[in-house]
Amino acid sequence: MPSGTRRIYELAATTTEDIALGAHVIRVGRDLTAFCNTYEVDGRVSWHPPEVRGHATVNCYLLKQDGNALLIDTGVGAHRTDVTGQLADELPASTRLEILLLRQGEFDSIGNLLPLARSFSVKTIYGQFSEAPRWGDIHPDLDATDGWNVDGEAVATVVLSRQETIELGEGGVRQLSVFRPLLRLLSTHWVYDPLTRSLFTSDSFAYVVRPSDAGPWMLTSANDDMTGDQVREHLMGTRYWWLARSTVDELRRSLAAVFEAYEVEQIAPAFGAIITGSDAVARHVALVDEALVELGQSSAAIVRT
Amino acid sequence: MTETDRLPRELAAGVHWLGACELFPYKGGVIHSGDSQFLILGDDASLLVEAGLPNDHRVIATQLSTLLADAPPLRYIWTTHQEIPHAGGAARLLDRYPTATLIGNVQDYHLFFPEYADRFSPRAPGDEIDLGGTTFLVLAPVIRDMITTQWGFDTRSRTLFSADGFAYAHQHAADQCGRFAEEVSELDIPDMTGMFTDQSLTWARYTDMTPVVARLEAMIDELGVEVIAPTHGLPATDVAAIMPRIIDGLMTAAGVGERYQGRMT
Repeated sequence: MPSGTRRIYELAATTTEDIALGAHVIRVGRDLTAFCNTYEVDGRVSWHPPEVRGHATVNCYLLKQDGNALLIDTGVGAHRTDVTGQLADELPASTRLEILLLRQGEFDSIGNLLPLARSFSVKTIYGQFSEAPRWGDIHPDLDATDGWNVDGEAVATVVLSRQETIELGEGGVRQLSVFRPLLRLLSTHWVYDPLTRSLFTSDSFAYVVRPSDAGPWMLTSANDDMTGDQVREHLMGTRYWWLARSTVDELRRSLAAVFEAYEVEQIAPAFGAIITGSDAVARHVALVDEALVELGQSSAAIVRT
Repeated sequence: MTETDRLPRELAAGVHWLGACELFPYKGGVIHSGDSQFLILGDDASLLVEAGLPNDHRVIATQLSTLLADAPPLRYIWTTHQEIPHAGGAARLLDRYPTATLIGNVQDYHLFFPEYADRFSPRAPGDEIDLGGTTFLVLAPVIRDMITTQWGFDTRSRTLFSADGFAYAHQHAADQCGRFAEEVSELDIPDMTGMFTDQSLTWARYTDMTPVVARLEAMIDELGVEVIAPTHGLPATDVAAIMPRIIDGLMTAAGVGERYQGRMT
């Protein structure tokens, strides 16, 4: 891929459009687009083990339905221009946008909230804490107290509970399940989209690093070279160090229950490749479960359908 | 965010407490969580502990301006870890204080604030920062909510900066904002610590906290800590009195599953 270009992938049709290096727009499914913007994994990023090298992505996901749109997470400051441009390319001017922050207290989730809110008609922000716009007021060149009314209407902020449903579009055709997973580090929600059978897992399953920033950023059974050792080292070397010698039965049961409750064709994490296809999904659920067993203290077999 | 007129307040010799309170619905009412920064004034340089929640940036700016008016320049901004309530104000502070450097575990910040990448300087546990007349020690944490978390210690005042360790909420209605732990004897610190631990240190539910508590007690003893300055709890100047209440809360939160079913937030 020539320097200074980005690719837009159509999974089914495999069309490509080049715009800017390291900024990948992927049509994951019907009315679901992933903005996968790359960075170098060079020991300076805490959500990768220090010895791992390569490239990964910070992912934002755009769901569109009946003239409404929901953006899951907003990306990091280094990708501010990319995410803003990607969203502008994808959204008709009249679209009212909702933003859902899976981890409001963390920069990769809330990092571009203010720039996006200044550029698009945001009507609702979902997050874990009140005053989300002020939590996103991290930019010296912007001010959260300015510009938070759209067409004279204040932007609504919604604090998410343990489990609830967000309706996207009209007539209840797309009801997103939003819930707080037990497997988490800080305040976190996961989202399940029944239309695309996608599970948005935030910082879980967020471990696929590639040698090149060209990806591929869709992991399938055909290009899956992750090993159990790598999954275990990822958990221990990043945000789940505490699993070692923890009691993990409750975590394993809850993880199994999620994948029993929802038919998942895509695991869409905050970082790295999207895991797609039922075989690949099943393999990675098993890899994480095996890592939990090996790292923690487990007293019982967890039955998974 | 709620500003209290008690802050800034001198916590110990050369150490000042800044910040504001955050509000959280809890059991049908509202509780407050401190979102604190601390300014250490050395003879030659000043160091700010935590960059603060962005909500508070105007309050912090005013408090800092007051404290630094006749003080050594702000040379260091040390964040305990890369979470919005602790580091969200980093870029604004670097912008306002152009000779200051962001120190600590500075992973990730080049992705968050690329325009300030040349002003991040890593410090690891064991590193010392000479401020003139006092030294700031970077410590490995006993309690962490990120793998990158650091704790710190000011040698002159013997103040321990414990990030999310010793975190607990307080009651605004009982006039507890801006007070030290010793001044709010009616506050149920074990319950508040347990709630905060349950919400913010989720891993504690699945972990035996006994060795954690032992390490905490050993650190307090070895360093000769006289003041504890948590980012979210009320500062404590009577360490012997606060420790049993904190430990009670930590142990209560451990191994109890999803205890707080409603929203703390």
